[in-house]
Amino acid sequence: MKILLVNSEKCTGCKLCMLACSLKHEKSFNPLNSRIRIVEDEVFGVSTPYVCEQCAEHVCVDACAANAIYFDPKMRIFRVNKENCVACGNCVKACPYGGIFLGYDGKALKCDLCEGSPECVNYCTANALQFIESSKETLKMKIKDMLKKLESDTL
Amino acid sequence: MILASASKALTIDLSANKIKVEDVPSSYISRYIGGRGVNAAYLFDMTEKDTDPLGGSNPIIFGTGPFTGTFIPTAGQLTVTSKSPLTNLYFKSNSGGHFASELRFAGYTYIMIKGKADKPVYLFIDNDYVDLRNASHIWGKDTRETNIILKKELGKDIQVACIGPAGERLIKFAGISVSVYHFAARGGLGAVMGAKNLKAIAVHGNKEELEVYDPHLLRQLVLDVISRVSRSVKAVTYMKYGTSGSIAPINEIGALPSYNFKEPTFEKADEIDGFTLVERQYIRKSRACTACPMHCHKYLMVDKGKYKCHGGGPEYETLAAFGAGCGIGDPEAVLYLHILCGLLGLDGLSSAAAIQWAMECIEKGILSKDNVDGLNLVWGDAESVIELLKKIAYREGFGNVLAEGLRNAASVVGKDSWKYAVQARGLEQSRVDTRSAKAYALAFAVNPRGPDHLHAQPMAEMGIYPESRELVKQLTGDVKYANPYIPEKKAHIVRWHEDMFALTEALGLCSFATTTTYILTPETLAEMYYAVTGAKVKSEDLMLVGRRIVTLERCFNIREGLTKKDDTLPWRMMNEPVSKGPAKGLINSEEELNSLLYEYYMLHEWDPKTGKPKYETLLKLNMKDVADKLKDGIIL
Repeated sequence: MKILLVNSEKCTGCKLCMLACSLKHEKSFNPLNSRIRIVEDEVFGVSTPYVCEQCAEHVCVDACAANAIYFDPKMRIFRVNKENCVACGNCVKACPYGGIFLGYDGKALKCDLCEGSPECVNYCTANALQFIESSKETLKMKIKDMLKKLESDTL
Repeated sequence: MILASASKALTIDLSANKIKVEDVPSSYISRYIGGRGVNAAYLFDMTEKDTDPLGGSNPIIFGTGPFTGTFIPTAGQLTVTSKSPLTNLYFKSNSGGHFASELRFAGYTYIMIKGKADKPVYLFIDNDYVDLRNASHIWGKDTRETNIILKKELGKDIQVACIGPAGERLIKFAGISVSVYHFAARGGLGAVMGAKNLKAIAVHGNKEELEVYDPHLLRQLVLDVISRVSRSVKAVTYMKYGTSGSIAPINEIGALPSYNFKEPTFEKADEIDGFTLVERQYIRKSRACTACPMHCHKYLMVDKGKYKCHGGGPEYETLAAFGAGCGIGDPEAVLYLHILCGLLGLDGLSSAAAIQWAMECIEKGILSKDNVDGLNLVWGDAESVIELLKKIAYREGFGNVLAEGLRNAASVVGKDSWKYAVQARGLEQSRVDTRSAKAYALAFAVNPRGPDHLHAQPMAEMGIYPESRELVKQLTGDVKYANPYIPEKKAHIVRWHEDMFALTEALGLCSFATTTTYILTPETLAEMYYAVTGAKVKSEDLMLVGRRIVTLERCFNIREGLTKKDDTLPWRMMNEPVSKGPAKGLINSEEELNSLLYEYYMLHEWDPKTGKPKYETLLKLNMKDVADKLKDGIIL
């Protein structure tokens, strides 16, 4: 099984991932249409990609009273059903990794791994994003990045 | 949703406190596409001969292009255009960062500002909400502090273009900080903002959903470019070292202007080269402008000592100018100077050029220590350079003399000092030794801004990479012209680069994608233009847009009274041969420059005697309006 591995330290803040995600899913370019978001601290040269970590705890699901986040057994991930979403934003508040967002229409947006071939990674020349086989090594790296996000107060 | 190629101008009259949103004239877009081109058209039509650069009638225009906001690689560039207080001529200054895309997402392609506010203001744009606000709390603050305060006030997602103390004091080479550490540095456009009492523009944008005509095709083209970036030696160098990786190689070929261009090599070049700066962890990480896979920008830090500092960069130009140029070999001091320039909002190139000229004047006995406020202005004395830089920004003592630019400073100091003022048309030359690079020499001499590399960057003449040798062969018929010492055929190389550079900045892209790396070709741009707009264009016609822009810029300057004799290079380049090294003895002689210019004018179908575009040439370029305006004044 492959995982979307984020290495925040390598992110240059080019936002190609955001733009590519927006085009792929919504057929237009707009930062709010992206399921991955780069948060910048320009003064200290830091850019952090926030995207659904596809975590086991899935607190976003528990936070949703509208049953808008459902399990997709094929991809083995949780996905958003926009029709049910009432745009309350509770999932966004609940996610400790900052991995779920409200989109242009105000409804929830969450990474769906593009049916197993994430578009964003194709554009990341800095290797801050990789779609890579899950292993002890890569999981360690993933958890390290997630921990950093848990500890940061950027969000 | 709107097409990415749609265009709106936000126009601000600071004197009348009026804000309007206007359509961009279709005759601008059809002929000049966008960005630098449309900016130039606005400037040409909104000003008259002898418009005061620091007066209310000189507009300052911030422009993006039809590719801005898309994921076309390097589509994050902003062009700022105005009449320069440094040269009194046309000026465009380009910056990376994230301001341009933010502005597009807010729904605007251009911001055009004229008039003067009666007290310090900043412009806040939050999608449809546009407001002029009191800036008294940020007036006086450096560029970084201004960003920090505005982000706290308006939200951390905003993008800011602002001036520092130098712009407020109308220093003739004050620049504009963009996205904190990027700069529209040259030509004193920061002083234009300062004269308008405009401290900053803050923009937040997420309203516009930009659609393109053929997303599928665009995606394929972009993915292909991404894979070419990874294979390009030059692009990979940018990724690792940024532009700072050029210091050592340029020193090796004896073309690193040192000690105010007296010497072609610097003995401590390796100390300030990108390789060393990365190895010693001064360069901490790569930073990118919007949509750029080459991330040439860097974040640097000196974490201890008296030169403790952090910020964006460094870049080849400031390293070369403060390092080799002023004889400073301590990398920490050079990095500190680079950062300090940014905070004060000064153009590093012009600042360093003015300071090293003063150093040479001291060395030659033209100036005495008493003339320079007692500063110990000897080669390599970093402390006095730092001191003088601050004096320039705050117009104190001798700093006030330099603050007017090198040309003016030399006329104040007098004697032979003008000979060592490495400037032409009022602009301090960038860190290229044009004596040993003949295409650069021509490009610098005809540059509407003055002698620097940001009008045409004819790096292909160096013949370093296979792509550049191939291009030279295609342009001149023979790969042997990929040699910087040969003047023949260089006009062909320069004109191609001019066209391409102007087109690049009209589309909203970065010249590193099209010239220097040669990854985006005219053919690729034509395909991308189709994918974005749905309009089928030939690559030759796109290049012709570039030529039209270059011609318009020329016409602006002709209207100001520019003549063939202004197509020149600094005295030192024309009169003192390179003193040593591989390029020893090379010079930009008048004869050589004249033959380069003759070939160049003929290619442009300009009058070879006067250097003026002919009336018929302008008609052929579909620029009758411009031709008629000039004809009225019997200029043509």
